[in-house]
Amino acid sequence: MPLCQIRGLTHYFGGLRAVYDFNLDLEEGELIGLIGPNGAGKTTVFNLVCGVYRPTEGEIRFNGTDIVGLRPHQITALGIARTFQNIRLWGQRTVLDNIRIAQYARVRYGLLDAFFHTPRYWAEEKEILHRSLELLDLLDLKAYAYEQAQNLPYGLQRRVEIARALATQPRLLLLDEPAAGMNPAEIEDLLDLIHWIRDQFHLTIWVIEHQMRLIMSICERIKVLDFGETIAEGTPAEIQANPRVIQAYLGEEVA
Amino acid sequence: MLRKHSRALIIALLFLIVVIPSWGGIYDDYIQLILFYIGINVIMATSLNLINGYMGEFSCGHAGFMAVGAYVTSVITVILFAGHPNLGPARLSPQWSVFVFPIALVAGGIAAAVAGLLVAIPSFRTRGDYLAIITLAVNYIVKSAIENMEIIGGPRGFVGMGKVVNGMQQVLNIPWVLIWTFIGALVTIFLIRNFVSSTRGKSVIAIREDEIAAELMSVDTRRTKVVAFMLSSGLAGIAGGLFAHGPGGYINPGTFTILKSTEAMVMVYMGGMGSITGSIMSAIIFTILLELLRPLKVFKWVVIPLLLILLMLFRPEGLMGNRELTDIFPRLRALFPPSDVGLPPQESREVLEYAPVSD
Amino acid sequence: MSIFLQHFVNALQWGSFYALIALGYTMVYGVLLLINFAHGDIFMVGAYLGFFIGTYLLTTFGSTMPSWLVLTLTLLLSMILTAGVGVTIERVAYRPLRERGADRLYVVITALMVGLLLEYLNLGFLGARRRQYPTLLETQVYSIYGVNVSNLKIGIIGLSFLVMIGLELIVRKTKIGMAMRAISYDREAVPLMGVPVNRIIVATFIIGSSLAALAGNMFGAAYPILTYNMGILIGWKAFIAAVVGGIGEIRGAMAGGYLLGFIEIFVVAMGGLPGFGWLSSTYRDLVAFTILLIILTLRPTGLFGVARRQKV
Repeated sequence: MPLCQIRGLTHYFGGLRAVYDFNLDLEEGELIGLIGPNGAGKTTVFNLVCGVYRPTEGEIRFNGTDIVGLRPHQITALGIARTFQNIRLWGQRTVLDNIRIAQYARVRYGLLDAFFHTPRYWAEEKEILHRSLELLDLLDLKAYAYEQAQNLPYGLQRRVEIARALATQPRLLLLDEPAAGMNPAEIEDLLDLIHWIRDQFHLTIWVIEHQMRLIMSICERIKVLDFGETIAEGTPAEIQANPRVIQAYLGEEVA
Repeated sequence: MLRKHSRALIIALLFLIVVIPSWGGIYDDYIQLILFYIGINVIMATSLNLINGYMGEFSCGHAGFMAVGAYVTSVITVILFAGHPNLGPARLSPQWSVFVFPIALVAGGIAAAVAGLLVAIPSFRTRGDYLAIITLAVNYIVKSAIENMEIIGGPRGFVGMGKVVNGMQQVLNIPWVLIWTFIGALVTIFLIRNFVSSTRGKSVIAIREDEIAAELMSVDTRRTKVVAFMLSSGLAGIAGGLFAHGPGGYINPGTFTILKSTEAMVMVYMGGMGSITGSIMSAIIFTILLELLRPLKVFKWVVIPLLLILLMLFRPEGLMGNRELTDIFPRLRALFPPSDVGLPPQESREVLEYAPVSD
Repeated sequence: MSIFLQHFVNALQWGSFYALIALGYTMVYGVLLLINFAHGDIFMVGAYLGFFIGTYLLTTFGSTMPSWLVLTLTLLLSMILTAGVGVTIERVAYRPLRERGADRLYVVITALMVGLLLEYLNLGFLGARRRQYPTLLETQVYSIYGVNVSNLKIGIIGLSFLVMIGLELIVRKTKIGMAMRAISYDREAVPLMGVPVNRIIVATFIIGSSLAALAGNMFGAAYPILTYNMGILIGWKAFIAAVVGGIGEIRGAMAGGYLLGFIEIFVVAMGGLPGFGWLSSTYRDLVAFTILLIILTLRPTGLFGVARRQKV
């Protein structure tokens, strides 16, 4: 059974149709891409899947469970995590705290433990600390653990965002324009990172990107959106040759 | 060794400074009154800081929760131990008041915590300015509701707490209410500090910095808001219960207006949003300032707003900003057991080596 | 039926006060995203200024000046002076914070403090003695369809309506009005278009404060006892009314103000009906606040408000 199934996803913002009849079968372990011109509705699809908006119409099943109408934190707890187009770290918190807070759903101790700092509290906090430092170490961020997140250079902040998403122990990771603002060298590193985390954490990854290099080289399958509608779907090679895609990005004459 | 016992030492030291001289009569009634108000203000400021500081909301109605606690606690103690023209004679003999008083305080706190839901639930859908109005309205509704309850005195107020305190002192002549206030302040600081340093509690700050990101990173923002609001208003309720049993043994709804809420807000912003040390310091400073300015009579309430305006212009982050004393003097951390696992390890003292007393 | 009409007219008068004050809140909020907590006290300042000016004019020129002139002068002068107070506050307290990009919260706190300042300066310098607003208008009571209306009441309602229509015209038809609306839609782009934002903000404060002063004077005429804290309760209520109407929306302020006026009058009126005896006038505030709270919970952006969507 596919890890994530989306059927007939449609969403209106008032009178504006943002997404129309979006369908997807996402198998476990896949690495797929979502592309399209600006304003095509790509981030909206992510927002719908994560529960930020409740879709006007359509069905989203994750791991067999119907997740439409669930609150975002519940969906995250089920195993979907994401990064954002514009970095949304908790800037004034340390990198370590960013990772800790994301493990909210995994915390087992109760309120009384938190209020009174019982031994159970300490045992679990140490566990969380261990896990967080380990995760940061895996992503080469351990040196920055106690830095304020907003003080880090842009590229590192993006990596912290990915680390934070990973801290929620997801099965499906949504990356929203992870390469935005990166130079070619950084993009190369990002490519390797994405491949690596997929294998290391047994993830299914879904990427929104504008950088063709990234999409074409790592995605196994790509969907193309334009004005909310899916205009093409296929392998990178197929997409690159697709006249409708070229038209959507570059206009009539070039096609 | 110092680390393990430093907390107890500090409490003992404070006990020595605050309670013993009051007990022994070295401090006269006036100083005891000041200490009493400092304690109350510490509770009010620290509990409000959780909402206005850590969670970044703008709650203007803290006095409403104080009122709930004040009245609930007082009605319980007065019904049981003092008797009241509307409520009947005392039911138990005064000796039991010593044991019942803390229970009544907690009951007042719980009632106030439940009242906190009135603000917590709307906060799911609204934030910022709109929530500010709701807190204002709740403050006013509480005051107005009390005024309409003739059975507890309505706008004329409620009396009898003096008899209750006398009853307690018949059992043992110590400054009971001052001691309970002292304990209350310590408990407040303890609970809030523990809560915000936990991973669970940091969700409060995450909500302030980016609520949507928090929600998407598995934080149950609704639950967090409920916990924060209830804890904050519950503690305010306890402050209210203590306040009601202060000298005078009398409360009336006119005390718990937006002006009282403003006092709490002044303390929070003066101390620094998100700094417990700041709230404590500004509670002390504010209480003393009010007393020092007493000769100015009405003009003290000109000086205080002016001070805060100047503060906003020149140091808006307040005394401490969002730092604690241990952030300014990191060496002090060596004195205390770590509360937050997320703080940088001190040289060789890895926090992972810290073992709580009974592991 | 005539009782109903009587209450209706009273509600219109009562609502006029709220609406005029609410307009000041909403305009400042629309332009600055600031809850000007000091606004209720501006209302108080207007009433007191009217008291001083009116009393002075009456005692000095009472015999020579026709009463309509005294009335007009009092209103105009107090409005102008109050506008001056409002502009000064903006200049001294709010603008420095705005210019250094301070967090909105700090400006709100400052506003709260300015309000306290005004109240206690009044109490300190003028004492706790209540003042009586001078009688500038000879009251004449007319009876229409069994309803008793004084010329004062008609004047208050009429003047309020006129002023509000005037405001609508300014906001919809003049350049300044257009600039005000533009700023409330997009604060950042407007100065880039060459619009002198500071001047617009000053204009907003002038209008808002004048309206509050007008309300203050009319209130003083209708309920002549002035106290230093008269602005607090009515200010908070007018503010809530502005929010219920949809803060930032001028029509919302008017709607909210009159809605609150009607709720309050009719809640008290219902107390006179059989079976509702428990609903005494002390419940008035409680019920009004609760209803407003319910409206806000059900429709958080207010009646006319527009939800500002956050980009995720």
